Amino acid sequence: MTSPGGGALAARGGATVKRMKWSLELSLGNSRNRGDRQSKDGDVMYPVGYSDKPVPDTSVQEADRNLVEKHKRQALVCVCVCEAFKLLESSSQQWLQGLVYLIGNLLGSALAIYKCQSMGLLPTHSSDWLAFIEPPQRLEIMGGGMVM
Amino acid sequence: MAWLVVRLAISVSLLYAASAVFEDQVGKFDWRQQFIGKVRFALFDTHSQASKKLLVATDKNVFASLNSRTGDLFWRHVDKTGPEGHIDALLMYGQDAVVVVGNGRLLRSWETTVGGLKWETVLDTGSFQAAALVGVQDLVKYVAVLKKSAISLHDLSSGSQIWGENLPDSDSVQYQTIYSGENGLVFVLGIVPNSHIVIVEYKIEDGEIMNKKSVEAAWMSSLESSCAVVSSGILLCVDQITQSLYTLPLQSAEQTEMRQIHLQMLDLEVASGFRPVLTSTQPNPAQPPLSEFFLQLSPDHHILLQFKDGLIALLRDFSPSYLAAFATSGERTVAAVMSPKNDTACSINLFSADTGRKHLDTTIIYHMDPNGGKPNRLYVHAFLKKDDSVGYRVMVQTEDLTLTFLQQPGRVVWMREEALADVVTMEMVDLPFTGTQAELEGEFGKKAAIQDGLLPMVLKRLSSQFILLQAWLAHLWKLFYDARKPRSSVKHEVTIDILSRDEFNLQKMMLMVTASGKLFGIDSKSGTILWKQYLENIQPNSVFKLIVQRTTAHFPHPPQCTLLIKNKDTGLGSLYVFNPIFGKKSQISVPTLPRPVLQTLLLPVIDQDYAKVLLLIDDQYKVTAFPSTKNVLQQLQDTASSIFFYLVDSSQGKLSGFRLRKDLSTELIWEVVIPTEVQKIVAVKGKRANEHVHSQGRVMGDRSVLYKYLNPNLLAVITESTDTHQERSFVGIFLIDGVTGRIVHEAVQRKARGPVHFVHSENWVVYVYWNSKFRRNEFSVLELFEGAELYNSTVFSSLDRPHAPQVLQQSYIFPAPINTLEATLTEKGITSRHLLVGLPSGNILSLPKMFLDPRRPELVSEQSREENLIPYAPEMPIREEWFINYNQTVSRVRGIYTAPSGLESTCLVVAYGLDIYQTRVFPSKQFDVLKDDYDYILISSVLFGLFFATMISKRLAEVKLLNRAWR
Repeated sequence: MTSPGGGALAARGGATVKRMKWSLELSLGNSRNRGDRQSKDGDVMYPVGYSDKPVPDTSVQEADRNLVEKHKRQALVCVCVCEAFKLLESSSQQWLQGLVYLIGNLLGSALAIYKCQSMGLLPTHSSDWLAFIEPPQRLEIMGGGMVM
Repeated sequence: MAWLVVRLAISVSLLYAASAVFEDQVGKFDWRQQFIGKVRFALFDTHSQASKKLLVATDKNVFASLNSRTGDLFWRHVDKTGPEGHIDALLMYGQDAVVVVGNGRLLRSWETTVGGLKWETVLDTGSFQAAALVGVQDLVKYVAVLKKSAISLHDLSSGSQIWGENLPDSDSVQYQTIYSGENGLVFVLGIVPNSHIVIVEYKIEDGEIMNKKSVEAAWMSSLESSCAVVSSGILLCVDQITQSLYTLPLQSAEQTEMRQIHLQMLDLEVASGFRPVLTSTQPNPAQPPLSEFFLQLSPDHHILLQFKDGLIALLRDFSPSYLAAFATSGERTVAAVMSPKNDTACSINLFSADTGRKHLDTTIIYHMDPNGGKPNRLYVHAFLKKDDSVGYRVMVQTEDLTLTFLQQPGRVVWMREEALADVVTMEMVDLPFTGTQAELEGEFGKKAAIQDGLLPMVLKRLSSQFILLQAWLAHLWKLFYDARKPRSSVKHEVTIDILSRDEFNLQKMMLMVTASGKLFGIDSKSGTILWKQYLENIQPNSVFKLIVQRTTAHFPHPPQCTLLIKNKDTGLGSLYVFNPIFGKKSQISVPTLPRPVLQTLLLPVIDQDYAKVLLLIDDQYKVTAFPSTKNVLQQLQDTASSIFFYLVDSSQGKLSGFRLRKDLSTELIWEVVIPTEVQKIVAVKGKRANEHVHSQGRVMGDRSVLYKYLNPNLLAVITESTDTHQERSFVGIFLIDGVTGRIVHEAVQRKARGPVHFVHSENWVVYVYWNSKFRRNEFSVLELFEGAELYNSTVFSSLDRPHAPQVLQQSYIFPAPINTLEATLTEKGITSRHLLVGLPSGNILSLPKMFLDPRRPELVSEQSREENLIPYAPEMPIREEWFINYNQTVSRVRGIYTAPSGLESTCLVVAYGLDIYQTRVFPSKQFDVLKDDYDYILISSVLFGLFFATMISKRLAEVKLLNRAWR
C-alpha cells in the first residue's frame, strides 16, 4: 500500500484522480462523522460489533490522499523515499533492500507508463500539442488588388 | 460489404451535418426585404374604385404589382437580366397588362389580380420601336407593336397575330411611333432625320395601307422626343431652335406642310440649352387624346396648353414647377403639378385639365429628405370621392430611387428604398455601447483620469452610478407600462438612440453602398433603415470601396468609415468619411486626390486617435496616407520596409509587387506577366484580414500532424483562356506570394470555362467552373500543407520560405449552376467552416467544407475513418435542409457577406441581390448556446426539489439519530 500503486493511479489521468478525490472526500466525511459520534456519545452507546480501531480501509484512503498530493508536488516523493530508507536503517542488508525497493518502484512505474502508453494516454504524439501552437506572427504587411 | 460501409459512413456524416431551421424559428433571427429597382413604368389600376394595385416595370427587368396602401408586393415577376429580359413597354387595359419584353422579342399579357400569365407570343425579329393599344368603336381589342421594319397587330384576348406587314422604305425611314384614334386606322409615323416625316395609315381589319404621305420637316431629328399627338389626330411637335410649335393633322390628305406657331405669340420662350418636352394624355385608347397638353420649357417651368380649332391657347403657366402629370378618373382628367414651396418642401396641387382651374383643398406637401435626391418622376392616382369631387394620391420617385407614396395633406403612406436593389458593397460594424455603458467607459478614459483629481473622480463615479440606476428604473417602468398594453399595440420601433450592442454582439450595423450612390445604415436584427445618405454627382459606373478605419471599440472617438469613390471615366477618386452608426459626414479633413487612385491598402498601423491608416496608391505609384499626421508618418517610416502591395492589371495581364520606401514612394520588386493572348486574369483574392485560424494543422489517423501552409500573403489568381472553343478553353489558377511574387502553385483545368467563383481562406482555395466537356458545374478544392513539421512556428515571413508546400487537390460534380460563393467566418475560427453557395433559384446552400476536402479517400481505411474523412464520391449532394433561407429566396443573389459575431458558434450572413436576406448560421451547431427549447422550468424545479429534499432528509436523519441515541 505504498507509492508505486498510488503513483500509477495518479498518473493515469485526470479522470482517475478525480475519482480518487471524490471517494477520498466521502471517506473523510465518514471518518469525521464517526469521530464526532465517538466524542459525543462516549463509550456507552457503541452498537454491537463496533470497534474503536480505525477501519483499515481508511488508512488506504489516507495514504492515497497523500499520494495525490505527492503527485502534485513531486518534492514530496523524495521525502517519502527517504522515509522508506529510514525504516530500513536498522537492517543489516540495508543497501540491498534499498536496491530492491528502488527496482521494485522503477518496475512499477515502468509498468504503469507502459500501460498508459498502450492505452494512448500519454501526450507523446505531436497532435497532442497542436492546440498549444500559437499562430505565427506576421512580419510583412501586404495588400492591394485589381487596378480599380 | 465495403460499399455498405461507405454508404453508412456517408449517411452518418449527412445526419451529422444536417442543420435546417425549425418551423418555429422562421423569422426569429432572419429577415428578407424584396425590391424592384428603378421604376420605368408605373400604372395605377383605375379599373375599379377600390383597387389597390399599382403596376410597375423597372430597369431591373422586374414586373410587379404593389399594394398602393402599404407599399408591399402583391406579386413580382423577375425576368432574365440584361437586354433579353428588358421591359420595353407596359400597357394596361382593364384587368390585363400587356408587356413587351426583350427588345420586342416577346409579347405577354398578365392577369393583374394574381399576376398569372394569360398568354405569350413570340414576335418576329426586329428591334422594338413602340407599342400601342388599338380600339375599335370604344372597345380596345388589339395591341399594335411597331418594329424597325414591320408592324403587327395582335388580339388582346388571345395574343394571336391578326396581321403583320412590312413597313415601306424601312431602310431609309426610321419608324418611331404609332398612333390609333377612333376611326379604324393605325398611323405609323417615321422620320428621315433633318428631311421629312413619313405617315403611313393602316386599316385595322386587314393591315391594308390606306394612305402614305411625307411631310417636310427639315428641322426635326427625332419624332419620339419632340412630338406628341393631341386632340383628334393632330401631330404636335416642338423645336427649340425656331422656338415654335408645329401642327399637322394626320388624316388630312391635302395639307402637306406643318403649320408653324411661334411660341412668341404665346409670350413663351424655351430656356437656352433645354430640350422642350411635350406631354399629352390619352385616357382611353379607343378614343382620341385630349386636346390639352403640357409643354415643359425649362427644368422648372411647365405650361398647360390647349389645342382648339387649329389654334393653341394658354390655359395656365406653372412657374416654377418641377414636375407635372395627368391623371384620369372616370370621365374627368386632372393635372397634378409639383412646385417648390421652400428649400425643404414641395407642394403638389391639382388642376382641372380642360380649364386649368385649380381644385380647392387639394394641396399635398411633399417634404424632401435633406439626405436624399431631388424628385424626378411623379405618378398620380386620381379617384372620385363620394361627393363627386376628384381626390388623388401621388407617388414620387427621386434621383436616389426612393418611392414615396403620399396622400392629402402630405401624409407619407409608404416609402420604398429601391436603391437597395443594387447593393455594390457592404460592411458590418459593431454597435456602440448604450449611453450609460459609454458613460462608464468614458469615466475611465485616459485623458479624463489625468486631468481630474481624486474627489472629482469619486463624484463622477457616483453620478454615473446614479445614471445607471435611473436608466434601470426607466427600463423597469417601460416594461411595466408595455405589459399593460395589449401585445399587438406595442410597437417595436428601432431608432438609433436606443440601439446598443447586445450581449453576444449579434446585432450589428449593416452599411450598404448602392450603385446609385446612396448609403444605408441598416439594423441587422430587424432590417430597419436607420439612416441613409445620398451622395450627389456619382457617375453611374463609379467603383466603390468601403473601409472601416475605426471600430466602435475606442469609445471617446467615434467609429469611422471611409468610402472611396472612383469615377471610371476620369479615373479620379474621392473620399467620403462618415460615422457608420449615425451616418453623419465626418469633419476630418480629407486628402484631395489629384491623380487617379489605383488601389488602397489598410494598414494595421493606428494613429494616436486609434484610426487605422489607409494608404492610397496613385497611377505614379506614389502613396498618400490618410490620416497623415506626424505620428502616422513617423510610424510609416519605421515600418516602411515591411509594407508591400501588389497591383493586378488585367488588361496587360500583369501582376506587380511593390515595396514602400521611407519617403512614401515605392519600388517595384517583382512582376509576373500572364500573356494576354492566351489567358486573361479574371479575379484575384487574398485572405480576409479579420480571419482567424485556430488550429495550425490537421490531426492524421496515426495521430501525427499535417501542418497547414498558412501564408497570410498568399494570393489566388484565376485566369480564363481567351480561346472559348470548348475543346481548347481552360481555367487556370495561380497561387502567388504577394510579397515575393513567387508562384507557389499553379493548376489548369482543361476543357473548362468561367464564370469562376472562388473562395480563398485558411490554407485552401475552392473554385467552381463550368466543365465544357461533360457540360456540368464542378467544384475543385486546393489545400496546402507544410508537411509533418513546421518550418518556423513563431513568425511567418514570405522572404524566408525555403520549402514549397504540399498541394492536394480534388474535384467534385455540383448538380446546379451557382451565382456566388462565400465561406462562413467566426470569431476565433474554432467552428468548422461551411461554404455558402448562392444558387440562381434564390436559395443559399450551406455546404460543409468537410465535403470539399482533398484528403477524402477513395478506399476507406482504418486511418481515414479515424480522421472522420468521408469517402470520396464525385457527386456533391444538395440537400434541402442545407438551404439556410428555406423558402425566403433571394432573387438574383449577387453577393454574400459574412461577419463573425460575439458567439464563436454563430456567423452572421447577409445575401444581397435584388433582395436582401439576413440570417445567422451555426456551422457546428450552437455548441455554446442553450437551445431555444431548453427547459428552464424543469431544470430549476428539479434543482429546487433536490435542495429541499436534502434539507428535509437532513432534518429527518438528525431526528432519527437523536431517537436512536436515546434508545
